[in-house]
Amino acid sequence: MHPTPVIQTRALTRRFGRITAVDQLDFQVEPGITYGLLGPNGSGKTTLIRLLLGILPATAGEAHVLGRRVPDRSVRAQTGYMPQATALYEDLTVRENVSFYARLHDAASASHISQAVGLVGLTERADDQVFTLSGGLKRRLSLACALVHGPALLFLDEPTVGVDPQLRVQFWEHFRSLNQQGVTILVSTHVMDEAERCHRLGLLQDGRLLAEGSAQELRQRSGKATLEEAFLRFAEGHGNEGIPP
Amino acid sequence: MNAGRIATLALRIALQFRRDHRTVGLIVVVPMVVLSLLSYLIRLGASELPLGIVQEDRSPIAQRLVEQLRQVEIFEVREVARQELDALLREGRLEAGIVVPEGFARSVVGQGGDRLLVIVEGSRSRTAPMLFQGLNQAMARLAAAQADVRLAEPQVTYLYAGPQYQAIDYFAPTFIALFAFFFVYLLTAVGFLRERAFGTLERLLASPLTKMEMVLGYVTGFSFFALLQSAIILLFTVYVVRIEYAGNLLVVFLIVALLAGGSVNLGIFLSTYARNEFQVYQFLPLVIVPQALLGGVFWPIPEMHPVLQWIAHVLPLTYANFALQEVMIKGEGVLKASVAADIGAMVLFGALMVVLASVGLRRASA
Repeated sequence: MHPTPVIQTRALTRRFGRITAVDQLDFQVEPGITYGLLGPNGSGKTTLIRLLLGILPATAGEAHVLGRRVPDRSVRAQTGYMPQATALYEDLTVRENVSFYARLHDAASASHISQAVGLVGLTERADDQVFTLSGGLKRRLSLACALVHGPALLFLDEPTVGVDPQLRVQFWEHFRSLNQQGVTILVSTHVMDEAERCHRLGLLQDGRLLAEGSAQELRQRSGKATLEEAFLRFAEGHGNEGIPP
Repeated sequence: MNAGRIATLALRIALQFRRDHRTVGLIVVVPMVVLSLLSYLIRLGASELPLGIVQEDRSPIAQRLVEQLRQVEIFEVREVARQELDALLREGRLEAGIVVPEGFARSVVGQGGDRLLVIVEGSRSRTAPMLFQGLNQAMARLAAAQADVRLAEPQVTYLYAGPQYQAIDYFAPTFIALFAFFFVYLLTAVGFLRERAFGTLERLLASPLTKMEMVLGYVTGFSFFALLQSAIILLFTVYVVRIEYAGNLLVVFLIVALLAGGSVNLGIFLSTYARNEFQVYQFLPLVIVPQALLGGVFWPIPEMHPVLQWIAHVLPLTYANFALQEVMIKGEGVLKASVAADIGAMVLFGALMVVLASVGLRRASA
């Protein structure tokens, strides 16, 4: 028996004027995995995440997150979000930022906050104002703000943009250990080697899901050696039924 | 120096302006609107001073004085009974009253009797200077026509304010309101814009926080500083600039605080229409100028064109001005019906702005 999906959408659609950013999307995410949304800029990754978070209303279709139909505010206590922008208060310290987001989620215990700050390796900078941090450190803090309240589901929108390779490895180690604790992660990326680390991938283009599966499955189905080539192959085949979905 | 590079830079600026329709609109429209308004208001000129005369002495000399007063161009004279004079002044239907008492004729020839009694309503800065200018004119003409007349100095009383009030004292209530509104608007609009620009709004929207909680949280947070700002403006005006005022300072603070509360929400609402800080400043001519010109600060609202009067009555600063003038110059309190009504109008404005701010948030997040 399959476990209940953490995310499930049916014909989810969002239009902005004449542009359809998410187009009749059906997909689901099983609990405890890292699901990667892979696609070029403008393929609808961020819009999809914002729809699932209930920030943006859908034009048509529906989405269920953690068993509740979106938008449902009660779900938000159990979801974490790391947007593409750093989204931090520059005048506040590291700890004050983390504490602020913890309080908004009713999870403001000192141990929670210290743990989140420690998890991203910022304990020594905890009392520094954010504007003094480098770009990479800000990304780490942004991650800490997203997971301080111990969410069951984490939305990460291109979390490693502008992050050096060493830190990227650390980030992915975090994600893996979160999975082991039962946390489900939906991560968007256009970096192929990161996509390789996801349990499951959805290839997104023009708001549609071109293909879905593990990295290995996608390579096999496309008959290509790398994920990058596989993606291009699926993109070419898009619309002419060349490849089984 | 390379002319090509300079031209490239200048052209880029022109290109940006071409794309920024709002800025171009403001460059074209705002000066025309402001200048039209200003020229209209300046040409409006001063209306005649409504003066009530109580003639208790029917002697020929008293008749001639009243006749001279009637001929003063800046007066709009109306004969009234002694017992109705006070009410007419309090209702604002007269700005001043002159009583020619029973024994006036005797006082003119130096045989005792009673001097002229002048009553100034006192809530407008123009009244006393205009009244004495006209009165002196009438008395001088009377003296010129009749050499034996020795007019004694009239006895002057003020209903509100007094001879010690200078222009600054009359303008202070308005300036307090205008500055509080202006600074608080800027504070909130820029503050909220940053929330959007830095992407933190996005995170807030994904949190359990409701939109109403967000608006109220913002109002509470910014209001603290709005109140601080209001208190500084008020205390500085009273204790450092040392203005003359009547009434209770706490009531004055209540009015300024209410106005600032409305300004906080207006700031949130308008900042959802601004893409950057520059655009927040662009709203200033729309937010501040009409209120400064039409809010009854420099020109009395009843003398304006009906359309402008209508506009004046939807501006929050108008009500703050009315209320502050009643309290600070006339010494009224919140129990006075007109003050209560003004405060009510400001509460209504504040509530409307909370709703608009909430709607603006919805729009900004979609």
